[in-house]
Amino acid sequence: MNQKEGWDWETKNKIIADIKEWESKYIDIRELTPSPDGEKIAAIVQPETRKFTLCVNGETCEDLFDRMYSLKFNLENEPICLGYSDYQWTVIIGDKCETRWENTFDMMWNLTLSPDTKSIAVNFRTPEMTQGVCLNDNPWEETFIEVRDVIISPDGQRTASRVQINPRRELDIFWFYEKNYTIAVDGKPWDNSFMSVYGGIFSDDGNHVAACIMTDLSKYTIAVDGKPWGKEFGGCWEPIFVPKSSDVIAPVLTPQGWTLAKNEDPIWPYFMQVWKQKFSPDGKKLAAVVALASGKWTVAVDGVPWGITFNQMVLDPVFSPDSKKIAVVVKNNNKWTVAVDGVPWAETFDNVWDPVFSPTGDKVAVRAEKDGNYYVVIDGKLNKEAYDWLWDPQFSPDGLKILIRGIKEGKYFRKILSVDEIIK
Amino acid sequence: MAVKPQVLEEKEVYISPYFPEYVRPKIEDPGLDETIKRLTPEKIEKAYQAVFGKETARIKAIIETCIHCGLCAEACQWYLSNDRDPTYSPVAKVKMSAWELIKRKGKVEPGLVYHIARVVFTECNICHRCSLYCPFGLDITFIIGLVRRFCFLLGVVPQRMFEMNQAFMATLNQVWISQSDYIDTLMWREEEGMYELKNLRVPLNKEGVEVIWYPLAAEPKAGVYHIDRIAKIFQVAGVNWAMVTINDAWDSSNMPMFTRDFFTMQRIVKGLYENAAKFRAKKLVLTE
Repeated sequence: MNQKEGWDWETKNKIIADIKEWESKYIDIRELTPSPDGEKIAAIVQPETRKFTLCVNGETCEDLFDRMYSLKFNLENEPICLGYSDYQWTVIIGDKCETRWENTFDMMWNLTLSPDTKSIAVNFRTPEMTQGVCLNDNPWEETFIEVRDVIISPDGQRTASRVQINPRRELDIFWFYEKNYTIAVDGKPWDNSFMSVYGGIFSDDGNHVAACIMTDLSKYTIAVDGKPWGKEFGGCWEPIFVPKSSDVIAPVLTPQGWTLAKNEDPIWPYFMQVWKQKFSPDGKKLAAVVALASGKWTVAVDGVPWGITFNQMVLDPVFSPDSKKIAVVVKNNNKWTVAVDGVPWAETFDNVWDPVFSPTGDKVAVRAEKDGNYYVVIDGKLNKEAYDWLWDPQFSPDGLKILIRGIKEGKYFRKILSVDEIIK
Repeated sequence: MAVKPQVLEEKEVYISPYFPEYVRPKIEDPGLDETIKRLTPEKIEKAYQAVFGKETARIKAIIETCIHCGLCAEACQWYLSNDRDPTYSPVAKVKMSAWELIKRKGKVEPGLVYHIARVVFTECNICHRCSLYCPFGLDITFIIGLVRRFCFLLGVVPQRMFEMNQAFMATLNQVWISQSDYIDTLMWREEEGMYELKNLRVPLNKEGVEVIWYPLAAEPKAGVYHIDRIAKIFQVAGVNWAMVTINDAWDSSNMPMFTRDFFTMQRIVKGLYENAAKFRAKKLVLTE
């Protein structure tokens, strides 16, 4: 991330805000969220009963809202959230809530940022009780009876959603067979509709959308741009696109078991379960979470499972930037840890968050909870200092330092530690 | 004063053409009456093959071990509450459904599918008590469940059950709640509850909580006061908790279990666990 170059990687410790003081000042504080660079801490605060505003580093906006939620920061370190006043919702941007969308709606939800955080998309409901997606303050022209989820293209220029195209007839069990669901892209529904649609995703170039569809009772397949694959399956999980291509990979349930299919044809061996498939950044490796048997979860890379299994959970695999390594959060015998290329760390935790690779891919950092305290952990080694709460650590562009954002003794701080200090 | 229920009219009677001892009031249910009109012999046989075709060891063990002793009858609430009418006994239900299907290798007519669906959906609660009374401990309900799946694959399911199953297939909740209505309702109930418990909160999508509460969708839809009641309990108990509104995965009532719609069941459970993992919640609390 280029943005990281401009961050302060020198100041070792900054106390940014006294959160305890906020707690005494306001009825409550919600969605406490730090900026990516750690210099700001924001929350939705309630200064008086049922009145909310944004508080950034202790300073609040002048305006009060009846409802506020979905607080996030963009990579420019600006807070973004949804606010409701005068019976209208809108998007609010900036430390002082200085930027508002011109469009306001009856209801807004699923505030979504594009990967570069420059585009903002939200689901909305109109006073006529129709629904759509609003991208960068431009609502879809065509709205629908119902929309579910914001699906945003990688470049943030296009949006899609799962939409209901026909009004439901109460208790009419034959309505369902009329295929009332499809995907709308930029507000335009696909030509085909289906009994159910879930798990939509854009291709890298934003020109294609794939989703799971239900074609009959217990029959599922993948549709790409509205066209179903030729084969049907007992079940499908969320598809992904092959990088820089319109080919689609999805887990499918066949009579032999679960496998990955590419454009309808199985390409992997069969497992008891397959999901969370992911390509490496260079697009050359394909990893997924698989179950070899009940309670035997692991990661498979290009169809070959790791030699170790975990008996409870394996979360999303994370590739290193150089595509060489995979780190994943695992749960075994009620303890969480991280496994890197099939080797779990010796240290276990009560909770551990998603792995973060260093830019060169040689180190893995996480935040973890142990005995009620939170720690930064690098390559399985706990930093000695315990915190009351932490957010994900971030490596400096050279990978030698790490930014820690957390709370200790009621104060929000940002710290820069040398990676060597922790792993020694 | 004892109140004697009045019978307003003589009910029409349904006598099964396949099992004349099966006499019941006639009922109207489009999930049974209308759906069988869409069946063909090919569709029926295909559904039979999908469910019973492999004749797994588990199915064979149950079907072939049963000695028709009828001891399961005393376990069944349907049998006991219908003057010990033997047609309500679990063994009779298996005889009139799975045995008949297996005996005829799925080559059955829509009328029999109606009969079977009526028996397995409306005269068994899948409570598993009969297995405890069976001298061999046979899992009779497992067989009833398979017959339900056979009926589900044919779309022959009582209207209310089927409609709820369809709601799950389309929205992952039992009452078709839209994403906006769900969030709106949770916010509204927090506001209502604030006046009864100072500073009440219904935390949404909060990371690192001890507990995620997954309600039944009927609660935000029809029993909205449940939301603030539960919130009050958590708050007074000092529990760090939250509700989840994302990915449609928050309704814990896995009704497709009753139709044996296995994949929708999986979608629901997968969603609930994935949301819990996303927010790193330590415990799930489900309404039941």
